Amino acid sequence: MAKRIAYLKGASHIFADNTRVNIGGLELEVHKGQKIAILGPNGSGKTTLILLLTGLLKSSGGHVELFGLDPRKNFDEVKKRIGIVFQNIEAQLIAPTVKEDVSFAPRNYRLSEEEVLQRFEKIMVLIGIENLADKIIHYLSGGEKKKVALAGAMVMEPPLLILDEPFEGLDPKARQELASLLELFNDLYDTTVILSTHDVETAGRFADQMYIMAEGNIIMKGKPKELFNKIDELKKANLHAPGILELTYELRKRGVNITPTLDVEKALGFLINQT
Amino acid sequence: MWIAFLDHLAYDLDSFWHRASPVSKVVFLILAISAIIISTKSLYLAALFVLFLLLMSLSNLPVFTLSLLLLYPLFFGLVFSLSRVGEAATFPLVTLLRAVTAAEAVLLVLATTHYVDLFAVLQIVLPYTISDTMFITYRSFFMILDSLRNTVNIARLRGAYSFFTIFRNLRLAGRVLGHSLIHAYQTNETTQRALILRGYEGRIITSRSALRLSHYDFVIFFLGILLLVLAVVGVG
Ligand SMILES: Nc1ncnc2c1ncn2[C@@H]1O[C@H](COP(=O)(O)OP(=O)(O)O)[C@@H](O)[C@H]1O
Ligand SMILES: [Mg+2]
Repeated sequence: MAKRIAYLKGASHIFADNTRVNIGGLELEVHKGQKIAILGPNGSGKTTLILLLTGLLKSSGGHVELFGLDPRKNFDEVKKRIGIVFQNIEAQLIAPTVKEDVSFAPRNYRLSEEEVLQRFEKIMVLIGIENLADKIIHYLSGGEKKKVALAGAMVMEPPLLILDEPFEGLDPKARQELASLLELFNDLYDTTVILSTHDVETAGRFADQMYIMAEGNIIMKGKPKELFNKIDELKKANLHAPGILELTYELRKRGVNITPTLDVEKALGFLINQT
Repeated sequence: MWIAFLDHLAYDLDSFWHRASPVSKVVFLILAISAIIISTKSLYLAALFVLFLLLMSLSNLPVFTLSLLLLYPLFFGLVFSLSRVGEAATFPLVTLLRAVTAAEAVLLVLATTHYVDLFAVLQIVLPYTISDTMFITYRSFFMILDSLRNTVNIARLRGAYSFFTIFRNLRLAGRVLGHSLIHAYQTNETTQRALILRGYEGRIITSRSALRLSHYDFVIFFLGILLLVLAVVGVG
């Protein structure tokens, strides 16, 4: 088994207004190189979980571990090893131009201007946004901003990349493009990726391990294939299953020899074999 | 978006004022604002106002559009002046001119200086905590302006109030402001998290070349000193 990167069990946080949010249920355990999707409807605790896991929020009780350390106590140590893309993209792009924003972290880590430029150019090419280098960020489209934020998070090539609802507000093509980029980092640098989403389809295609959250608890975990056999429970957690998945699932429930899938070709294959 | 507009002016345009080092522009700003505070003569303040307009125009800035931003300090200056009518001590016109001219000087610098460099310099002059807070709130300040403008526009479209009945709708205005502040606060929280995760430790690091001085800079220093001297010796 690859090295354990992250672990969280039974954490909780008390917000300023005294709302206590418990992240209970199953444990979260992430190993090096994995692609993890945390699935859950709005308000199910995905963002809170991410903030607790990265030490940005203080956990009262429970057990939180990142790179074998308590992220809250060793924040300066762990922060260098994580790149984050928050849900609110506007708020995390701090410099006016793409170039200055993406160079922000390398400069803070006191790299020479030469190295800063080198890293900047490398990540821009990798993400395929060289053409945006000198643009004013505020005039970019939502999808472009997201890519710039991703460049800013990945420019130091951290071993762990965390994205909060990265697919929100993207059209299906852009969603697929973003997922491919994450896969590229995963292949190239063996980057561990943790993302949150309520999009069952994109998560199902992307992740090798999924966690389902409802009302603050992690209620299920497993490979996409395993979870696709429990669609009734996904629905109970207020998640919307894509039509093709629901159809293949229902067919199997009615005795057809078919595996629940997101893949139309596969479903067709099963069905044609039946007849 | 005003903020994006200012960024565009600072990054995409070029002029001697753009090319000057942020160091000299910050020094100029401090000298100019000191002159504005010291001076009590409306004629001098008006002359400064015209001078800054001229400098804006020489810097290839769209003077008219930027002047619209001056309506904000004009409004607050007006309210402040009116509240002090009857107190013989201050002549309202001076207060008004001070507010607008100071804002104009700030705009001249904001619209010609790369914003990251600007803060890199400000933190030399200001205590860290202040420059830090300013760096983080700078964007939200303009976001509040934008969101105020949007909400006012929406309210007007829906017939909530016209410009003249604005004072009758103070409650609505209060709510709009409250909403904007909460939005800015939440944005700041994310910004702060993003900042520290990206290695920010209370210091903005800029490329060194941005702080190098050239001959433009001495002209700007000199102009700033001249303005202050004129105010001190009482010409203004
Ligand atoms: N700053 C906050 N103050 C108070 N309650 C909060 C705050 N942030 C989140 N919560 C509460 O925590 C719960 C989980 O929210 P969140 O983690 O944002 O869910 P998700 O990201 O899945 O939409 C919600 O009930 C929400 O109301
Ligand atoms: Mg969330």
